[in-house]
Amino acid sequence: MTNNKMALEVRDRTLEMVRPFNAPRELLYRAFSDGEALRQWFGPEGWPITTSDMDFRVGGSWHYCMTGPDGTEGWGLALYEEITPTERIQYRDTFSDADRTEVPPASDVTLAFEDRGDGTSTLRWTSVFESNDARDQVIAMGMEEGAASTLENLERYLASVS
Amino acid sequence: MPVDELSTAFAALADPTRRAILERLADGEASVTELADPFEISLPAVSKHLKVLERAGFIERSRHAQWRPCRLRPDGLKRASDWLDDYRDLWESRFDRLDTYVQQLREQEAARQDADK
Repeated sequence: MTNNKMALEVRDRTLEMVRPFNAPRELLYRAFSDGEALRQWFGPEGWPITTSDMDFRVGGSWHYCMTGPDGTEGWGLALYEEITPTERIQYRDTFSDADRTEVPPASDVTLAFEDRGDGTSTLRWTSVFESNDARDQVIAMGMEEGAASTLENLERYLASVS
Repeated sequence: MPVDELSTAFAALADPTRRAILERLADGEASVTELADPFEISLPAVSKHLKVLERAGFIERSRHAQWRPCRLRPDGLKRASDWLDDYRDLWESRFDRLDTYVQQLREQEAARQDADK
C-alpha cells in the first residue's frame, strides 16, 4: 500500500529516500539514536527486531536482528562515524551475524534531519555503495523482507474475506 | 510462496551475470554457448549460473534438442521496476512505523509540557 509520502531515487551507486514527518527533527533524531526506539519501529511487518544492541557514539555501533515469520534471522550492523545531534548521523551500514561480522555489501549512510520551520521536518536517507551491483544486490535482498510482509498482508486479507 | 523459496529466487537475482543472462533471454531463447559469449568466464561457470536460475524457476531448458536451448519462464521473472517497488514498500512501511513512533513522542512531550504548567 503506497501513501505517496516517501520519495525514492536511484542514482549512480546511490539510493536516496526522502520523507516528511509531522514532528520537529529532535524527535526524529531521538528515534534513530535510541536502541529501544529502533526496536519499536525499524522492523517491517512480520520481521520484528529481536535484538537491539545500541552504543550510540562516534566509534560505537548498533547491532540488531530482524526475525522473520519462519524464524529466519536478518542481522545488521551500523558503525557510527559522525554524529551532529538533532541534525545528522553518518554510519557504515552492513549485513551481519550474531557475532558482529561485517558481511558485504556495505554502504555509507547519511541521515539528515531538516526542520521546515513549521514544526514539521524532513528525513533524507542517503546510502552510497561501492558499486551499482552492490546497490542492486541490496535492493534484491531488501525485497525478501518486503515480499514476505506483503505476502503476510495478502494472507491476512484473504483470511478476512473468506 | 514460502520465504525460503523467495530467498532462493532473490539470491539467484542478486548476481549481475545471472541478471545479464536473463536480460539476454528476454530477447529469445539461446544456447549455453550463445549465453557465454559476452562474458569472460568459462562454459562450466555459465552452466553453474544456469542451474541456479533453473532451480529458482526463472528459466527452463528444452529437453528435445541436443543443444538444450534455455528460455525464460514467463511466470518466474520479475522486472527490475517490480524489485524496486518491493524495496520501496519495505521502506515505506518502516517509515510509517517511524511516523507512529514519533507521533507517540510528540504526545508524550505535549503531556509533559502541560504537566509543567
